[in-house]
Amino acid sequence: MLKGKIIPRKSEKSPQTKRRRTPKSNVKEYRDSTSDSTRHLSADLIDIANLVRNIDAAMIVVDKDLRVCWFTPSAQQIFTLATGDIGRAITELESAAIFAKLESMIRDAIGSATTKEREVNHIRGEWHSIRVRPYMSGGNKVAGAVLTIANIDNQKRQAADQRESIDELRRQSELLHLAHDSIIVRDVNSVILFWNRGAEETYGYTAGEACGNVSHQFLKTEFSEPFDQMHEKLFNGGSWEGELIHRTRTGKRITVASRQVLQHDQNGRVVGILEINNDITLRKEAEESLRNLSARLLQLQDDERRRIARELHDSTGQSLAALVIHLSAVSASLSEADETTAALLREAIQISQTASDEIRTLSYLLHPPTLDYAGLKSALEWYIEGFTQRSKVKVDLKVSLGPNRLSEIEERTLFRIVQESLTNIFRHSGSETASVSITLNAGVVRLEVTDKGSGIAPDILRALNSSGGQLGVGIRGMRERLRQLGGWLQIRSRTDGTTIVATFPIREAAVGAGS
Amino acid sequence: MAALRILIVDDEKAVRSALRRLLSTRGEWEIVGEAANGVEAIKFATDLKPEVIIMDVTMPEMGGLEATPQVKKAVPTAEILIFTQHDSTQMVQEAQNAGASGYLLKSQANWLIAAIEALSQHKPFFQGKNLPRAK
Repeated sequence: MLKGKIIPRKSEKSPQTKRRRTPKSNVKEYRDSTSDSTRHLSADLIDIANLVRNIDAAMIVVDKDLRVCWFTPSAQQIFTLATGDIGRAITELESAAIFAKLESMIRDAIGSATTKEREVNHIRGEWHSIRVRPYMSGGNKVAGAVLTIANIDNQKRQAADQRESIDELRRQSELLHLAHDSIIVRDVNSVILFWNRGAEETYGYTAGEACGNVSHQFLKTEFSEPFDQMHEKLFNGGSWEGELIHRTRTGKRITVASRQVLQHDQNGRVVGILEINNDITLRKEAEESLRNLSARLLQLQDDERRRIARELHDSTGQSLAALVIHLSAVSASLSEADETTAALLREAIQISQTASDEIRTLSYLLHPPTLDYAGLKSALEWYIEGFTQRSKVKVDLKVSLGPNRLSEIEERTLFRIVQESLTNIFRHSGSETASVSITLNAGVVRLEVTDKGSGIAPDILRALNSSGGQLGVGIRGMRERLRQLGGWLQIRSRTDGTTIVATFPIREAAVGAGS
Repeated sequence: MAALRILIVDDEKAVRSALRRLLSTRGEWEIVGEAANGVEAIKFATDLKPEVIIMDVTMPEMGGLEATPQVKKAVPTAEILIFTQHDSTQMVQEAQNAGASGYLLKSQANWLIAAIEALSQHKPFFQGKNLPRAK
C-alpha cells in the first residue's frame, strides 16, 4: 500500500550515484511516517520518486479514500501541503478547494479506472492542467489515484494572445479582401505573397494561382517608366506611384493606378512591398474617347467653318459682286443730267461694296483662303495686319519653315493657335506688343507667341499647364489640336510677360509650295 | 477705230452677265467671248485673239492664276486683268508674276471701266482695298 511521503533529500548528489554506492542508505533516507510497509519500498521506487521530484512535476498520490499518500515539492507549493497532511483526505485540505470539482474528478478516475484530465481555472485565476490517473496495485486493482498538476497559465495566456493576434490578422485580412482595389503583397524579389479578392476579380487569377509568381512577369507589366528607375524610386523613397499596364487572365490589357509602399520588419529591413492597384481602364478609355470626340468636334468645326467661308465667299460674295457690277452698269448708262439718281446709285454701290467687304472679312476669319493657296506665312501676315488695325497691338512675325509647306492640318493648327494666342493677348495681357516666331529644326516645328503684358496668376497658370481645366476652352482647343499632331503646349508666365510654346514633329513630307 | 476686243473669264454666270451689261455701256467695246474656266480661257484667247481679258481666279478645272501665263504665251499682246474676290497682297504679287497687267476686286467693279481703259493703252492697273480687317 502506498503510505508515507517522499521527503526531499538534503543531499545534492544524484540518486543514481547514491544508489550505486550505498543502496541501503538510500532506503534509510525515507522516514517511516505511517506504516512499516513503506520500509519495503524498493530502491527502484525510490529512484523513481527522486526522479519525479527532480523533474519538478507536481504530483500527489491519494488512496481510494482520497487520503494523501505522498506528494512532490512542486505539489507542496501548489496545494500548500505540509508533512502533516499525509493521511488526510485531499478533500479536507483547504487548498484543494482552489480547484473546482477536484473530488469528483478523482472519484471518477478511481471508479472508472480511467484517466481523467481537464484544464481548470485556479481560484486565483491561474490555469492548471490536472490529470488524474488511477493507481493500479500489484493485483491490477485500483488502489488510488495519481494527480499530476501543471501550471499552464503562461501557455494559456500565450495561446490566448496568439488567438487574439490571429483573429486580428484575420480581421485585417478580411478588410483587405473587402477592399475593391487589388491589394498585392510581394517580397523583395517581386514574388507574390498575398493576393486579395479584389485582385482576383480584377485579374481573374485566384490567390492560389497568383502567389509564388514574379508579379511583373505574371501580369506582363508595361511600365510607365524604366523598371530600374521605378525600382530605385521605390527602394530609395519608400514608395512609388504611377500608372501601369497589366494583362488579365483573358489577355486583356488594363491600366491601373498603382501605389507601392515598402514594408519593413522590426529591424527596419525591407521584407516586402505592398502594392495597391486601382483599375482605371474604363476611365482611361473614357478620357481617350473624350479626346477623340474633342478632336472630331474640332475637325467638324474646322470643316464647317471652311464650308460656311466658301459659301459666303463664292456664293453670297459673288452675288454681291454681280450686284455691284450691275449697279455700275446702270450708273454708267445713266444720263449725265440725272444727278439725283446717280447719287443714289453711288450710294447703293457703296453699300454693296461695304457688304461685300464684310462678307469677305467674315469668310476669311472663318477660314482664310490664303492659308490654302498661299500658305501659312501669307495667311498670318494677313491676319496680323487686321489684328493690329483693330487691337493696336503691334505684332512682330518671323516664320522660318524652309522652302516646303507644312501639311494642311499642320498649317491650320499653327494658324489657329496664333489666332487664339493673339486674341488672348489682346483680351487679357494689356501688352502693347507681341511677337510670333515659327521655326522648323530637326523635324520639329516650334511656335512661340510672346507678349510683354502683366502675366498670368500662378494658380491659374498651374491649372492651365496641368490640363487647361475649366479656365479656357481656347487653351484646351490648342492642346487638342497639338495632341492630334503628337505635340504639346507649354505656357510660361511671369509678371513681365507670357510665352506660349507649341511644338510638334512634322509627320509627313511637307507639300510643295502653291496649289 | 476698231472695237476693243474683250474676253470675259468667270465661272459665275451671274457675274459674266453683269459684266456684259456693264461693258456694253461702252459701244466701242466688243465682248468676243465668255469662258467659264482657265482651260476655256486659253482656248478662246488662242482662237479669238482678245486685246483685254477679264480673268477670275477661283474657277473649276483651272484657275485664273494658272491660266494667265499660258494665255500670255498664246497671245502675248493680250492684257489680262485679274478680277477677283480675293484681297491679298500675296495674290497681287502672284498675279504680276503670272503676267497680269491689272488687279481689281470684284467689290470695286465701279472701277472696272477705268481699269479696262488703262489696260487697253497697255498701262498697268492695280487697285484693291487694303487687306480686310480681322474681327
